[in-house]
Amino acid sequence: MKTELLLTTEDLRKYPFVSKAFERVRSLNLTLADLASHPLRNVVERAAAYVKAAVNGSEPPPPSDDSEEEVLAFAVALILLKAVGDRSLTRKFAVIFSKRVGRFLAGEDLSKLVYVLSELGVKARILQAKVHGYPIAFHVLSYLESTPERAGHWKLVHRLVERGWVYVSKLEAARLGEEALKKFIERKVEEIKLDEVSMPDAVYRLVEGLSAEWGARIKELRERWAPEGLEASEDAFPPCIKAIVEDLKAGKNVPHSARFALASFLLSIGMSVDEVLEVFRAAPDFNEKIARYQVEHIAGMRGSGKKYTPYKCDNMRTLGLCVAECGVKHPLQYYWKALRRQKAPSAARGSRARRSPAEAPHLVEGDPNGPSTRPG
Amino acid sequence: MGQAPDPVKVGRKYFEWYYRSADPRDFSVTSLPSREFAFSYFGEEGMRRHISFGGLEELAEHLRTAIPRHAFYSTAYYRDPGAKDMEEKGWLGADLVFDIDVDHIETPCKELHDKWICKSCGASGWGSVERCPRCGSEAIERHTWVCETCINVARDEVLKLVDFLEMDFGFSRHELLVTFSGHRGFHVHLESPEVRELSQDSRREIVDYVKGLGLDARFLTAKTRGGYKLRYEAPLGWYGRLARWALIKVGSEDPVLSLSEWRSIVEESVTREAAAVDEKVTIDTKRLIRLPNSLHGKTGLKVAPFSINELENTSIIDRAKVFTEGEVAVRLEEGPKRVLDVDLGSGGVLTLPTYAALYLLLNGAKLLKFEQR
Repeated sequence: MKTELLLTTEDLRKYPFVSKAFERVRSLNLTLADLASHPLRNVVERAAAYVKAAVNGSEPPPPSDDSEEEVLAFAVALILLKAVGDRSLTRKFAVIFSKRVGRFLAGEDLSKLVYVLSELGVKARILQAKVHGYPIAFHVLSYLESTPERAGHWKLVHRLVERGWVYVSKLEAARLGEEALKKFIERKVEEIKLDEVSMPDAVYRLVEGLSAEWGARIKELRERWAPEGLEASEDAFPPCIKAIVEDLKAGKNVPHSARFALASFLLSIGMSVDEVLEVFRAAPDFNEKIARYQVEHIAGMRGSGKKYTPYKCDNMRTLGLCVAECGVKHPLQYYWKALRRQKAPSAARGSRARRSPAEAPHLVEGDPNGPSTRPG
Repeated sequence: MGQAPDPVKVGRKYFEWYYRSADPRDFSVTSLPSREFAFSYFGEEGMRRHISFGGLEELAEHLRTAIPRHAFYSTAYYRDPGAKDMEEKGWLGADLVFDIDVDHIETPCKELHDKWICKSCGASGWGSVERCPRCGSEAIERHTWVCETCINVARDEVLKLVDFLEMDFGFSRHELLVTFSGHRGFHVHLESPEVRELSQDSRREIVDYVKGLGLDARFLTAKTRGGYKLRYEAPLGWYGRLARWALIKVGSEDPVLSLSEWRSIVEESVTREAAAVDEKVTIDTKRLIRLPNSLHGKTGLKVAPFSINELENTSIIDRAKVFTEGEVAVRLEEGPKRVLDVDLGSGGVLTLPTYAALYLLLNGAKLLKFEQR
C-alpha cells in the first residue's frame, strides 16, 4: 500500500509507537542487558527521563535527533513502566507523551495524519470533498472510544453524524489521535511480559529509584487532595449523594444504581461497612444480611477483592442520578473540595490556585452495575 | 367452586411440554460456549448462575430436563464462563444490547390492567402512580400486566431505536437481533465484532445519543443576525431531527429563533424521536439477558425473535403466544380487566384461551379454578 511509504525515518522520531518502529526494535534483537551497557546507555537514560517527566508531571524531553535511539528509548520507557507496575504512572506517561504527539499530528498533512491514526487502530478516512467544512470522517465507534470529552461540542449528540461516520476537523482528528494513543500506550504496557529475574542490576536499580520517586509523589498528591484528620461530613456531600440519602430517609424505594453510587461513595470517603449500613437502614426493604454482603463486596472485602470507586459525574448523569451542575467531574472531587473549604476556609482558598483538577490522584472507575449483575 | 391452582405445578407442566417439543436450533446463540447461562426453576427461590455449556445440544438437553422457569445468557463473552468469580471468568467482550420496557413509558392502557397499593397508608387504585395520591409516600407496591397496546407502544420505541442504529450509527438492520422480552418490552442485540470491546463510556454515549440526553441548544445553534440558526443545515443526526421539528413547529427547516425557542424545539424533538431505552442494560457489559425462544416464567410467552420487517407488520402477541390450543375455564377473583389480546371484563367465571389463563396464573392473579378444556 502506498501509505506504507508515508512515514520517513524522521517521522519515527515523532511517532516511535507505529508498527514499523516496533518492528525495527524487534529486528535489532537486543536484550535489556545490551541496553544497559555502554554505548546504548543513552537509550536507557532517555527512557528514564521520559518516565521521570511522568513522575513530575512535566514536559517530556524533546525527541532525540537519532531516530533509532528514540524508537528504542520509547520501547524501553514502556518496559520501565511495566517494571514499576503502577497503572497511574503509566497513565501519566501516556498523557504527557500523547500530548506531544498530538501537537506533531496537528502539523501533518491529512494523509499522514490518517495513517498514524490507523496505526493506533482508529478507523478514519479523508473525504473526497469536505462536508460542511470537515475534511475527515471518523468511524463513529472509533470516535466514541477516542473522544477527549463526552460533553460540549465533543458530545456525539452535537456532532454531524451520518451512517456510522462522524465529521471532524483536522485539529479535532489530531486531538482524537492523542486520546487513542493514550489508550494504546496503556494497552501496550499492559501486554508486556516482563522477566524480572533476568533484569540487569543497573536497570533494576533504576526501576527501584523511579518507584520510590513515584511513591513519594503520590503521597504528596494524596495529602494535598485528601488531607488526613478531616472527618467525614454530610454537609460536604455533593447534591446527588445528598439526594439519595434524602430518598432513603424518606422511605423511598431507591434503585440499585443509586444504592451502588451511595455505598461506593461513603466507603471512598473513609466510612466503615457498619457506618454505611447505618445509612441504608432507613431503606424500606432493608435486609441487613443482604445489604452487608453487598456493601462488603463494594468495599472489596469479598469476591475478587476489587474495591469499587463511585461513578463519575458522566455516569451519574446517564443513570439519571445527577441533580445539579456542580462544575466537577467526579462526586468525590466535589466532596474533598467542600470539605477543605469547610474545615479550613482561608487555607483552602489560598492554595486552590495551585491545585488543578488534573493533579488529583486518578480514580479507577467502578463497575456501573455494581457487584450484583441482574438480568435485563 | 374450584380449587386454587398451583402456579408451580401447572406452569411446570406447560413449560415441560414446550421445551420437550421445541427444536433445539431455536436456542442457538452465537459463541455459545463463551457465554454464561443462568436459570431459575419452578418452586425454587433465586437464580442459579455461572452455568456454561459446551454446545447447543447440551443447552437444549438442560432445557428439556431441568425445565427452567426463566432462562438467561450473558451478553458478555468469557474465557471461562462457568467460573464463579467475575475476575476469574476473564471478560473478552460483550454484545451491544438495548432494553425497551413499557415499565418506563406512559401508556394509556395501564388504567385497565395495572394496580398499585401504597405500603404506607394502604390506599390502592388502577393505573400507574409515582407516589401515593393520598399520603404522598413513594413506597408503592405494583401489580403490572401487559396487553397488546403496551406491546405496540414498546414496538414503536424499538423502531425509533432502529432508525438511530441505521441512519446514525450505520449498522445494517440485518445485524440486529430483536426479541420480544416475553413480558413488557423488547431486547435489541448487536453482535458485530466491532462492538464487542466498546468501553462502558462509549456505550453510555450511545445511550445518551438515542435518548437525546445532553442535547444543548447552545451547541446545536450558531448566532446569526436576529437570533440563532442550527449550526448545520443538513438532514443528518440530531440536526436533521431538529430541522424536521422546526418545520412542524414554525414552518421552516432553517429558522432564526431565540435560544429559548430552540430549547423548546429540542424538547419536543426529544419527546417524539428519542428511543426510551433502559440505560443500565446498555452500559452494563456483564449483563444477563433472556435466552431467545425461551419462555418467560411470569407470562408463559416466548422470547420470540423478529426481523425488523416482521416487527413492523406482524402481531407480536401472535408470535409470542405458545399455548394456543384449547381453552381453560378459570374463576378470576381479582385481577386486570384486559391482558394480552383478551378482555376479562370484571372477572368471575371465564373461559379463556390457554395462553391467557396461564398468564393470569403465572403472574399471580387470584384464581379459584383452572380447568383445561
